[in-house]
Amino acid sequence: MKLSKTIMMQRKWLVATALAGILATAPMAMAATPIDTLVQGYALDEIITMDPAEAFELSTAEISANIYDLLVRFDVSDTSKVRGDLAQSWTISDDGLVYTFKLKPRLTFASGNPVTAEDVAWSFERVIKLDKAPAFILGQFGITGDNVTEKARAEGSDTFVLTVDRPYAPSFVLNCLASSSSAVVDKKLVVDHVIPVVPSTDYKWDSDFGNDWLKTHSAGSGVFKLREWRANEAVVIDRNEGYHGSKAKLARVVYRHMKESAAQRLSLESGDIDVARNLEPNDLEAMATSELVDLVEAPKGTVFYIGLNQNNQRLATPEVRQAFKYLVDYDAIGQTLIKGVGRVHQTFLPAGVLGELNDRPFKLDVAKAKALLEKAGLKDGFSVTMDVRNAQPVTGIAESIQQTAAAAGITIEIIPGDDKQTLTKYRARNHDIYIGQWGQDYFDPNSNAQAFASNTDNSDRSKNSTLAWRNAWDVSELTAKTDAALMETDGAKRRAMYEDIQRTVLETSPFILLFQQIEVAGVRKNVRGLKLGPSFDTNFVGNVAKE
Amino acid sequence: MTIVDRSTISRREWLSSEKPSSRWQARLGHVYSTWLRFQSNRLAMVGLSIIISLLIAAAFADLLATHSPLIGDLSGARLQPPSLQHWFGTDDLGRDIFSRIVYGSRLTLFVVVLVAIIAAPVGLLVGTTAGYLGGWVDAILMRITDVFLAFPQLILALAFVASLGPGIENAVLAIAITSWPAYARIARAETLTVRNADYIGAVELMGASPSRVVLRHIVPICTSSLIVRVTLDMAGIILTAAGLGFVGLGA
Amino acid sequence: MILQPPNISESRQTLSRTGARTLAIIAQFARFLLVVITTYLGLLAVTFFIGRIIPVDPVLAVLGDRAPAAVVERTRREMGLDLPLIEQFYIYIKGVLQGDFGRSVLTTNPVMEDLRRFFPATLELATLGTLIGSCVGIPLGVLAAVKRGSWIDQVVRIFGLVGYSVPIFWMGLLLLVLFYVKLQWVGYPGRIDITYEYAFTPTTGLLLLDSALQGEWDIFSSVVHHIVLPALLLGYFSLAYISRMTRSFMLNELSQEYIVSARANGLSEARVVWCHALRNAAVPLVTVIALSYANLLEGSVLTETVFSWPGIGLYITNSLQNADMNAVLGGTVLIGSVFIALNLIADLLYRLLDPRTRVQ
Repeated sequence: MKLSKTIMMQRKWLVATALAGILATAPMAMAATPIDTLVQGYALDEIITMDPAEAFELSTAEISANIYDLLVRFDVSDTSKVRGDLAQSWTISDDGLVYTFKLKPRLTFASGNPVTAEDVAWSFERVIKLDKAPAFILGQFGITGDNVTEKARAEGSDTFVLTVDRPYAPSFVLNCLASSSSAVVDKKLVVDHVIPVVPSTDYKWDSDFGNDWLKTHSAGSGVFKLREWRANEAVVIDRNEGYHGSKAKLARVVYRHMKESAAQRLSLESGDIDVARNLEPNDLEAMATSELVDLVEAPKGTVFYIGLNQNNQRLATPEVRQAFKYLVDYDAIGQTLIKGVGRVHQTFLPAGVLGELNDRPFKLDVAKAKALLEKAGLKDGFSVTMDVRNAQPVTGIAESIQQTAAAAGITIEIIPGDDKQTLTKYRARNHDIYIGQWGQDYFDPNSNAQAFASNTDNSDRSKNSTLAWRNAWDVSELTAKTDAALMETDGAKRRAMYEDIQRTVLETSPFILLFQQIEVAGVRKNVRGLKLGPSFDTNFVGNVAKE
Repeated sequence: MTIVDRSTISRREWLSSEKPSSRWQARLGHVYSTWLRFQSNRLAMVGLSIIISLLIAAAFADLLATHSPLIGDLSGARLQPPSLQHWFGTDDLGRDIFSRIVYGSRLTLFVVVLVAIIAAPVGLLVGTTAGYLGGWVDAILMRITDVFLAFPQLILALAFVASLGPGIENAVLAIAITSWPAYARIARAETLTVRNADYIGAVELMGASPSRVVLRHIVPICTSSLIVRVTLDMAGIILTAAGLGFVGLGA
Repeated sequence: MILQPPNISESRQTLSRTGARTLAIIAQFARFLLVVITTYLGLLAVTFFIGRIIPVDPVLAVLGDRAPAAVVERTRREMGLDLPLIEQFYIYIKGVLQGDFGRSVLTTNPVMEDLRRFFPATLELATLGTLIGSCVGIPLGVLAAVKRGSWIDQVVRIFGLVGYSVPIFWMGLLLLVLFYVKLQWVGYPGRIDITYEYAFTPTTGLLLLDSALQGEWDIFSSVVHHIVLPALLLGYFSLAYISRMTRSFMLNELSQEYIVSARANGLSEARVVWCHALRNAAVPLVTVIALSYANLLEGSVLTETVFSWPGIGLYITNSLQNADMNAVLGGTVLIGSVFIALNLIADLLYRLLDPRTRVQ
């Protein structure tokens, strides 16, 4: 008995000392990241490709912007203007149909190949012919696989000519060209990696235009080049040593996949990452007073909103739609749930876009909402469901609205779900109420105007999937207005048209706009020069340095 | 009949009488002696008191809760530490945590009881049928059981919640679907041991149908060990429900 | 799992009749194979159909929310999702039989490649967890049984009870805050420091082994710092189970007559407990440990989530939420195989250790 006890004691002691020894020998050093590498914690699970002709996610747009150059980019200091990137200058024909771009001299790709107009034309061709998710941005100018070689063509080595089908507002065309799908790829490099394809009725071409190779490689002329993308793990970009402009200060940037805000905060505080990109309000609050970390922020082009399905008879009543707009406690939500990550915004165009409108007519007013409901013959309230994806801040906002709506007699049953699951239901118009967000496809008012105010065909089998359609909001007049604004060549008039559309949407739509997203990054104090742009494809890292 | 007797002797003596004068008295006496044994085990008493307080909390949630569990004060009382007003503090939506826990006990009990009610009988029926009938019925039923057993439990539950849609009822259903195979295995093993017993043979000779044999004579035998197992699993059920909630698919 | 492996002991009887014996073995083996195959088929079918009834549009995972309707329709056809369910299943099974599990939509890699990358992470963690659980759990269980009713017994019981009843993700988070944030003793997130992540090519995927074999002791230390907390956590949870079972097996053995006679023969108490009783208790214990190992190998989704551990559980969960069914199916088959294999091994070990199953 005694002996067994001593054996036990010895063994336990051994285990304990062994563990303590392992842990104590090398205590973790602070700020473990190398001096020439920036490590960002970032939720990257949405990335499925690195090919700019296929990728359509915010995170890929951001990385793409650091790898690829575009013909034009919009001006970060004044987002209503565009400036040349690869293009030195451009002219527009009098009929508004032909855009002629002149490239800057002596440009090179990361491979060392020169950048020519031929590369630009081929980049456009592959976007259109591959016909992946972002193809519609160029496709809306009447460019198809059959006519792309004429509509987007090179004239000599430094002149690129684009022909559009209707006289659109020039700002609209240029804004679209400034989106990441128009990235210029290195034709000479990519053709070596093209895979032959057997044409079919769905895909008429005999090559994949390097799509398979570009999924995991890059062929750009940007400040960085892609070193590696490992799905759900990391994206690593290295400095482009042959960059034609001023070179990046850091040798490497690592975007490390981390999904949870809490995980990012822990790693940031311990110095295992330099930048945390997806911090939520609770963690931000804790970071605000930190001595190790600065917070950097910029408003982004994403708005959060609630959609009321007009196929539900009750929600289709105009008074009920208005009543809901008075049943959101905007102030309290602004001060708590979205503090630091958003600001209350009630119109569909985010601040910073041409035609932005800062009207905020609604605030929590239960009495008014009750009066409206009584007018609609629903004095005793009613029950309705709300599809909410499992993520902050939408879950919190949904629960808050559930409380305020209850005060007016409306019982909201919250149906939680995974992101893709609620979205699938929403896209099939099977929801009552949906709470979600909408980010601009490209930095032009038309993107959101089309989403919120255009519905060309309200039938269930419709080809369009705008937000207005998803909520079965049949508005032919607004659709026409949206289309007209697209054609307005006069900047001031175009602005006024969008303001008008927004006022109508405020008054009559089944959309309750909640807030505009502010992107916040927690940045360790030894990182210099990290700025967030007004959109994700302007979050450049070339100027970032570490001390 | 026994009223007169009871008035002359003490209640305890009547309960512990060695010569019960009625079935009723014998049964009560049995319960009483079990209770005495139970009482002498300190751990068992601790467990019992925890369960009773949980039951009380669930039954009288309306009276015990100091606030509404759903409605909070978002702008005024958010993330407060414990105080006289809010005994356990408030959460990030300004709701009273104590009240939420009190109401939460209802949900917990609901989940546990429902899972037990769904999973145990299914497992019992499958197991006893397979064990009693044998042959290809046994082979098929046990193959199905194996398939479900070879699945990782939480992932299977996740899959079901994902396909049924999140929510407490579906979480219950998903957990039940993943927990019946274990019960089927136990019931089958037990059935195999009693299947050739004389009393089963006797019933069969008297012309009882297979369903009668299984339901009336085998199921009761297997029930007691199953109840023990289900009780042991209850903690696991609660944890699985919590896990589903953690990955965002619970309630 | 009632997969009966070929029954070796039965066939010993018929040594003289070689032909009959071979036949019997073949028949047994055929039956066993049939059981395994049908179980696999069932596994595949259930996973496949669950995948198809999940109300998530798989195209959404490929294209995102913004793609125009025409592109969505085309992609649906390309993925074969417009075919009848049965036909889709048939095509899938045909691929599997040729060793092709398809491509994962999320990672764009062949599923097999993904599994090769994610499974070693789980394997490493589960093995370490089980080792910790057994090395601590068995002595604790023995001690509790020997000192039955004493304060040691109570402490072990409560220690185990806590392991049983505290949600693993909650405890994981607390441990992280304490050891990672406050004390800076351990590494996080993932399996290795970011600094080393690109300085090192693993061969087996078991980073502890790889770094030690390559003599990269800096990297080894980093890996140890990362794995120690999740391994301890998993170890604690298997310990709770193992110590409890050890205790009850030991109590059973200690009340046997051979123990009494051993004591009467004057053997030291330590020898009686550790050599005689434990050795006999080890027989059922092997099964218990194997099952708990299988449990951990299934990928403890919650632990992997908390520690951002790129293991199989996280991989399947992630794929499931995006309706990436090729990945889910591949992962399920792998886990099913692990489960079946471990059950078999436990069964064989049982036969090896228990003399009664040998003698006929």
